[in-house]
Amino acid sequence: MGRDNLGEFEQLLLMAVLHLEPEAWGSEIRRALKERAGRRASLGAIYATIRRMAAKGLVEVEDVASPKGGRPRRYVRATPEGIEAVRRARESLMAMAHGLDERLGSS
Amino acid sequence: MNEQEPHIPDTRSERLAGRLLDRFATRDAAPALTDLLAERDRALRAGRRRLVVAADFWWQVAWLCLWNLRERARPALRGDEPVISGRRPGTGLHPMQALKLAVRGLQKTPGIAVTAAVTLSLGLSATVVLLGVFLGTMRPLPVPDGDQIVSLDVLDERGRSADPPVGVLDTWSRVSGLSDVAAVRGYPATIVHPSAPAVRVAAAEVTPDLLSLLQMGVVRGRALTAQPDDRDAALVAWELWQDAFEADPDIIGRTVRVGSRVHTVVGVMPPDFGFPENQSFWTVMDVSGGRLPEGTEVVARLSDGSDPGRLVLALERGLASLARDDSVDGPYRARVQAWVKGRGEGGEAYAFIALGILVALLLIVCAANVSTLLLVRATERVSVLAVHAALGASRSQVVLQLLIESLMVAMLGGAVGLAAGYAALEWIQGNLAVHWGYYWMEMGVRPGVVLGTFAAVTGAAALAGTAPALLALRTDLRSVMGGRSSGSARSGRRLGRWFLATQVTLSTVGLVAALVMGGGVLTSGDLMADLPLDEIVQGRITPDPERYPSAADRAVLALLVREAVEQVPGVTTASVSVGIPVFGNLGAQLRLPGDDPELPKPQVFLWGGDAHTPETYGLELHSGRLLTDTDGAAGSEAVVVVNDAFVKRWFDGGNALGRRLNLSDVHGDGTWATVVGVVSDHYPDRPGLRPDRVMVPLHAPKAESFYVSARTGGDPAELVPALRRAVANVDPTLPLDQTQTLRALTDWMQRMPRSMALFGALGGLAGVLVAGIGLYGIVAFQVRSRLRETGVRMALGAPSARILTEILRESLVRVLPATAIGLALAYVIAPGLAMFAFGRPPRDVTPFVAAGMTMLIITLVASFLPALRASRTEPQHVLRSE
Repeated sequence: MGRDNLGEFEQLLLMAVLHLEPEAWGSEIRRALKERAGRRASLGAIYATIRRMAAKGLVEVEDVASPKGGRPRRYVRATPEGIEAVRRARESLMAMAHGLDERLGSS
Repeated sequence: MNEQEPHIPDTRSERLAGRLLDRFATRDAAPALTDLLAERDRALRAGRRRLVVAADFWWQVAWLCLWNLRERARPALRGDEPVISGRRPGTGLHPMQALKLAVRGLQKTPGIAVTAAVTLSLGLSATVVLLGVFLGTMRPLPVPDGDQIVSLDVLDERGRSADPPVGVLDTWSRVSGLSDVAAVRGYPATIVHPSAPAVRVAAAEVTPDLLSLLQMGVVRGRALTAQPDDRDAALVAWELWQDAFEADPDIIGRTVRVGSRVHTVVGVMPPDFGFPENQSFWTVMDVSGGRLPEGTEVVARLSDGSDPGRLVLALERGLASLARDDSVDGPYRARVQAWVKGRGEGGEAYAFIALGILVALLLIVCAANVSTLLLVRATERVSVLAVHAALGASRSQVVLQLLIESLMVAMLGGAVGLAAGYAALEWIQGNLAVHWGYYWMEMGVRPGVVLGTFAAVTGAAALAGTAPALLALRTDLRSVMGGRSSGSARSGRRLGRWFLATQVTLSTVGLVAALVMGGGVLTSGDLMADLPLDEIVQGRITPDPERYPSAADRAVLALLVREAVEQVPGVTTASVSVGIPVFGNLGAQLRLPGDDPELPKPQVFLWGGDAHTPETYGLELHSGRLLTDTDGAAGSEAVVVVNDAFVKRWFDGGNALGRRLNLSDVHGDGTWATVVGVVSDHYPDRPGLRPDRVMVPLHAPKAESFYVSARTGGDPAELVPALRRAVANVDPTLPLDQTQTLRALTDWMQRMPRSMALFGALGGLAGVLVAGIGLYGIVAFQVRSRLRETGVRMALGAPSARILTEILRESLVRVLPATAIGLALAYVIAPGLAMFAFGRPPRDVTPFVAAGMTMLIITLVASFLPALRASRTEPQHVLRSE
């Protein structure tokens, strides 16, 4: 897989971020992955993936201290490149799935 | 979803997680902790079990740390970054590589590694549990500086506790060394309030300064004050407010009635507060005139740096000054002791000490066995390591490698042991502690205990795991490869033999005890099979002594309640009794005609029953007559009914009708009661059990509470609301509490001995497992160190079957005498286990035979694996190096 292509977990995570924005942060992302995709991921994996995608410029992260003096949260935002990457991933998936309705069944 | 999560203040576990993340997941530490805490709070709010939530929390922390470590290590392993950056001086290996090598090393001897880990976890969990229980009961009061709270006791000339004399509170509050002095007296109370059924609670009257002494505040309303208007003020426990008052938001200012007094609730105490013992309702003590009510205890807070010896002297001087005022009768002494001290039921301390000794033994044996096993491992790897060293690996590199392997085993065993210990303690706190504990007791895993035991066992493991490496590096390659045993190995084997013999002896004793106890647990259910356990529900009524001042009035009320209960649809028969019927939890001293009045009188158990009790509980009349409802009323002759076991025990099985006996606690010293009937036993008369019981008339004991029992053909638990209504119809201020089915009651009664028996059985089995492991370790070690000899013999034509049987025979010769000694010891101590045998004869031959057989089988199994290995030795393999 080339450097610009998204891994499956990266795709799911990016889409979770898009669903949650602007409130996309660790435990919410984890919950969204579980509730929407049925994927149980550890926070460790989520943080590592976010860091990897940030290095590729697909997301931006920002640690924001709570206004009430609480603990800081790491907010994640998809960059235009990230959105473009998800779009491309979706297109290639659709293109590959096209014509397979009979074998895969329509869901 | 995105609201600011309400945050609980930092706890110890949060701080620890924070530190771990800071150290190992530096880049993500702060936001990750936010996420983890948010998830945890959400899970707790969703009602998930605390244990599961905590496990998930730590699992996530571990993953975060591991992911970060992995990311950091990756470039180094791939070669993107110079390895030198992660290098430890002298090892020449990246830590990850060393770890990988260690895992590979362990995979070569997985059996030994796992066995060592299991042994370790056994020892660790046993220690964690025992110390957790022990320290849990010894906990200081959960109030600020709780260890400074003491009780001040007055002792009479014989050293017995006496009621504090008039004026003592004033006098003692002036003594230096005490910062506060207060008084407290517990009493049972029935709380009646209009909107809910009456409840019976443990209450306490206290001097108003008690809360400030304890430095405890209320969570609602205000504390008690010494103002005259506050004479009828009351505080309620959080739990009482939640349950009986259904968390009524307008609780403050509500009035409740206790006896003839009306109290106004002025405050709610915080959760988990129950001073002095397990109280949940507090009223103001009247100390006007300096006189303290009977049964009052004086509680004080020590001031900083007060000297106990000097304090006692000062308190006694205070008592002496009171004596001069003629308000005190005699020479009194004073005693100062921590509030929580001596508040365990008698006997528990001994049980703890006995268990403590057992656990200490288990721990020593475990540590020794782990050492043996690791020694075996290391010995097996000595030749490999010698080759490593010969190829130029540095000494520290080899030692470090073995150290890492040993520590990995220790960590694995430690984690499993901790988890098991934690689960066991949770269970004890949830199921057992409520029955014998006071509110401040809390069984839990103590960090100090965990660290201490872990350090001890890890230390032993590290030592045992690395010592052979040092040896290997000092000896020359040839001798190591040749497998010549040195003098120190021989003396080690002798020591090992003695150690094994002791272990086998102790394990045999433990196994017999385990089988006796385990058998008891299995048969305990049958003991009461003849009773209608699933047809009866009981409850307790406590008539208000002010409305029903005489015992006769209360007995009449009880009979009225019985009539009302019998009208409830579904109830076939009902009865009322004093004390728990049939089981008879009231004690009395028995005297028979002709007994020497000077001798101590034996104790028997009894209950007071009405005419319907035997029918309700299915007791059969074997001779004579049953008691009637009017027996025992004023002016009538004293009569009792006894059971078969009583006749057997006290009348030598003869005719009991017309015989006379005296129960001083019921009849006083002068009256003799006549036996008018004999009924069947409630459970079988077996050794170690005491089913002999006396049934006295309902009127005979001057009772404050009565048990109401209803028998039904359907589900007895479903009757409770109807019974409550029936009781309320007789008197609305009469609470029906402690409702439970007979099944629940008998389960509860057997819970403590059953749990002890269960623990004993588990402990014994653990002992056997450990002994088996020890045996395996020693035989494996012996086989390994005699490999050369075996090789030579096989080269000379010894058949492998002979090698196998020889090793097995040697093990048996070593183990059987120790087993025999163990069985003999067990025979001596067996009668001491009668309490846990639930009526089975403790010297029954079955457990002894079973234990002997088990030891035999374990010996064979434990020796078989190494023996098999020896018998498959390839002579040329062993001798090639010569």
